[in-house]
Amino acid sequence: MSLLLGETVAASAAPPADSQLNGFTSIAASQLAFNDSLVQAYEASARKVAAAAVLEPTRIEAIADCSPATIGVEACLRSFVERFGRLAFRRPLEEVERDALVAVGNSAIATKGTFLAGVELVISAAIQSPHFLYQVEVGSPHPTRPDVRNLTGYEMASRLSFLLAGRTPDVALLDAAAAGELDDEAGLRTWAEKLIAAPDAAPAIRDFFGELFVLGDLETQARDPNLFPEFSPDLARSMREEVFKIIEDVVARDAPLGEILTTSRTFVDGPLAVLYGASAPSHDWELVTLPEEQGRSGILTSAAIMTRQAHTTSTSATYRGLFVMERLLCTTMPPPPQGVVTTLPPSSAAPTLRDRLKVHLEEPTCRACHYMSDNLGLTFETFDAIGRHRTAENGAPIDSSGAIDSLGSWRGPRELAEALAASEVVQSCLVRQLHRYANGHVEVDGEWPGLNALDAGWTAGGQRFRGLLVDFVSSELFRRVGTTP
Amino acid sequence: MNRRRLPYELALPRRTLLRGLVGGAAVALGLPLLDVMLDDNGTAHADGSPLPLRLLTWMWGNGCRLEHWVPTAAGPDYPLSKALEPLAAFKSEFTVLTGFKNPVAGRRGHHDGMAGLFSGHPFINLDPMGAPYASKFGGKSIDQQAVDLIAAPTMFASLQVGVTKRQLTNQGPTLDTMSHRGPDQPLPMERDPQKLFDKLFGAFGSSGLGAGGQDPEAALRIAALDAVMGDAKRLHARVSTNDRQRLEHHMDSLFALQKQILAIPPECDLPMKPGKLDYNQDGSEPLVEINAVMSRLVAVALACDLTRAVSYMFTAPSGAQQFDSLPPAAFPEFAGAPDYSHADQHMVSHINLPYEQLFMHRATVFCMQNLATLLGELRGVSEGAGTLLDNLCLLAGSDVCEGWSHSEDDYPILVAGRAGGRLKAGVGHHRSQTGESITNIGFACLKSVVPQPDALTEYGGEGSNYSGKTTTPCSAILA
Repeated sequence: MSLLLGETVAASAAPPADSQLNGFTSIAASQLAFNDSLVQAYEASARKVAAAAVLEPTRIEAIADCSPATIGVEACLRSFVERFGRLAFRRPLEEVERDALVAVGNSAIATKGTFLAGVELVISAAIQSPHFLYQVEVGSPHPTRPDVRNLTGYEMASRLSFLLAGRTPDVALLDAAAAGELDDEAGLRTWAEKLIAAPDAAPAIRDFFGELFVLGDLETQARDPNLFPEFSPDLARSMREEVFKIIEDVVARDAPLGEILTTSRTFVDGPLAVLYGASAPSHDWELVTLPEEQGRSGILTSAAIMTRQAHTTSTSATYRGLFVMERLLCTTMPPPPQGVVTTLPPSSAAPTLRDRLKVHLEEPTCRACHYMSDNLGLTFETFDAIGRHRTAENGAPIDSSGAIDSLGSWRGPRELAEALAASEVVQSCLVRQLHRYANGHVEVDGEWPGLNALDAGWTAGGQRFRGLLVDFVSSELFRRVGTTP
Repeated sequence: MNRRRLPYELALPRRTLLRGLVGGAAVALGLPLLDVMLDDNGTAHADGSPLPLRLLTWMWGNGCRLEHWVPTAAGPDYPLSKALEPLAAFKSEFTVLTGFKNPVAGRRGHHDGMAGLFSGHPFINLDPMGAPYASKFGGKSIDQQAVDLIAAPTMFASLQVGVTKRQLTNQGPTLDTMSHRGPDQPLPMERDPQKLFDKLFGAFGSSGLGAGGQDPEAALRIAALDAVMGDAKRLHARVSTNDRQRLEHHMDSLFALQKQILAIPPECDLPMKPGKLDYNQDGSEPLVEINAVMSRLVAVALACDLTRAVSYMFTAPSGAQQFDSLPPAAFPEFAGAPDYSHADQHMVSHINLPYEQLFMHRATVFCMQNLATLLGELRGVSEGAGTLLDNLCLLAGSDVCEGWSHSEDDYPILVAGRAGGRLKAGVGHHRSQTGESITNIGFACLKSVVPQPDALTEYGGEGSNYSGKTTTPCSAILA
């Protein structure tokens, strides 16, 4: 919205929150339909945006590239519709669409008598249109395969821009689409590199990793105020910022992405330094090395992930184990069987969580599923429900070793992180997650060859994330859609 | 019985059905009921048409402890169980149904109950290999089935209200909300009392809904929405079947919004706008306070006939709601017990130890106290010869029977209200001896509120080798 009408206007938009499915909001967005509340909320938001936009007539005339005083109200409105419409619909308007919006604008001019009243109603209608609210991808027929369609240059412009820049395409990218620059692999690579390097690309990378690592709602998590008095929404925002800073640092240096799991250095502000027991930073977001004895390792032991994957009063081996399984290993756990006995011993008899969960690994019905999650999750028991380091629970020392078939054994979070960073499963899972996020669906059979090829290239190239993005957006995985989703 | 008179007694409407035009068709909205418009018995409109009937669904999350829930005897004079004691003042106005099973059970705890109790359709797994699990409803939820069958020209087709915000949000639509227009159209809840107020009442007028056909601003909004509708129609012809359905839902909602803008809402005295109720992020939620306001707003919305279908999620399925009214001090029999007053309830539910399970039972008691608040509001509004409660059916239940085991063979279910006499009075506690299906209860509830109950011959659906379909409404409650 800020690209269309400026920052001030964008601030007045109040779009409804997105829901998520199978781990990503984009998957929900490609399956779930609008409803009465949503349509009502979009209308209210559109009217607010339009009303704010016409408070800046200079900007309106700049978009329209004309002044009603000079060329007349009707002509200038038409120019505004064409130029604003192209930005809002992310392609040139069809004649019937242009005429409909001009008619809408004229009806407001007839009622209220001013050019800006017409513009206001045009903006309101355009940004409620399905062409604005949905990413419409009709494509064009593939020359030989009836089951797929190639996305058009304008559709690719939208895809590229939303994925790599986190916003609607600007005039330059739309012009590139018009000139056919997005129709072949070389052109897409050039534009992808340009978009990734742009100073405003950071939010897009944050958006992907924020969803992948479930950081979006961190500040609304609840913690027992008696046990964790220092936890607050502000601290939660600092925690999330730390994870983003670790990732951005690795991506900016074009280092192997696995470093986000294994780095022993991190970024802290004042409150985080206190939480981590590190010396106070001289300025916010100082790069520091955390105390060796804590055994911290990259994002995995970050306060953000330790907090998000915990209960309000205690840690959760299941949540933390499932996090590693679902987010890094692309595997899941079946539901617990009905009527399963969930009697765990009290902490007086079994001081550590590992002691209490012993039954999970002894009882065959539990073990089948909990073997993997508990082994992974219990590794992080040296970090409490807000990520503070600890060595004991209820007076008993914590054992954070573990082993699973696909990763071997480890003696603590650092060794687990090393194993994960070196794992081919983790590397190919990241490619799958990017595909899910960008294409809005979980991979299907026909997509495996493309995914495997991407995986091979990204592994051979040393796991450079920016390289993966460029390879991905120029691949057929991103440039084609099936005729049935 | 003495009826509490509330400060928001309905005012006499000065206007009746002044409507704008949408697509050439007049838009009519229902009117709040007034005694002057009723027949001498107060059981129907003076013109012979029946009083409006409504369907409410109400849920609390994570089940109950059956030994404290199921009354020890059946029949009208049954002794209230401990969990039901908070509802003593309403004993003659609800039926306790026990011994009912979920026919669509055994696939996934919490999801089973939501789908079985609130739709009758088995849920649809969205469980692609290696991705986080999710599910969605297999068909319309019962409240949305009621919306279609009642087909009342109300300002809002239905309302979705939520109290707790401590909800699990990563397992898909089935656990996100009780109301679903279809598998791909979950309807989100309003959980902020001020926003619900604004939606129901505050937005009326030239700047919001109900602007009326005379208002030039409204005409312009309609024109903008017409253009949007035109875009949607043209796009509709060019997309896949799935997306076509999504666009149809979108267009339905655009049309509904146009009707809302042009309609003149029924006039009734509004409640005061509620103050801001903060959901503290330190682990406490003002559940009682929010529930009190939400309950009143729902009662007024029904009294003003702004809607006839409401779903109300007090606490969430598999939810992390916290009960800060249950500190260790509330359990003197367990000295030195852990403090769960800020713990997430779902976690506690799975600790099958005496203290934790007593905590679960007391949480159920707390939920019933809050259901009593809503029943009180509904009974507090006079309508015809009785109260709102006499002209609605409220189906209350939970997503599991007992939370610790995800059991599904003895659901805690209450049906309150008389649905204009279509629901039997004085049943008290009915225990099914045959393990009857919970979908039979849904079927009876739906039949009790629709204009042509005899035309409704089946309820629920099939899918994934499971069937919730039934042709036999629960005879214990249907008059």
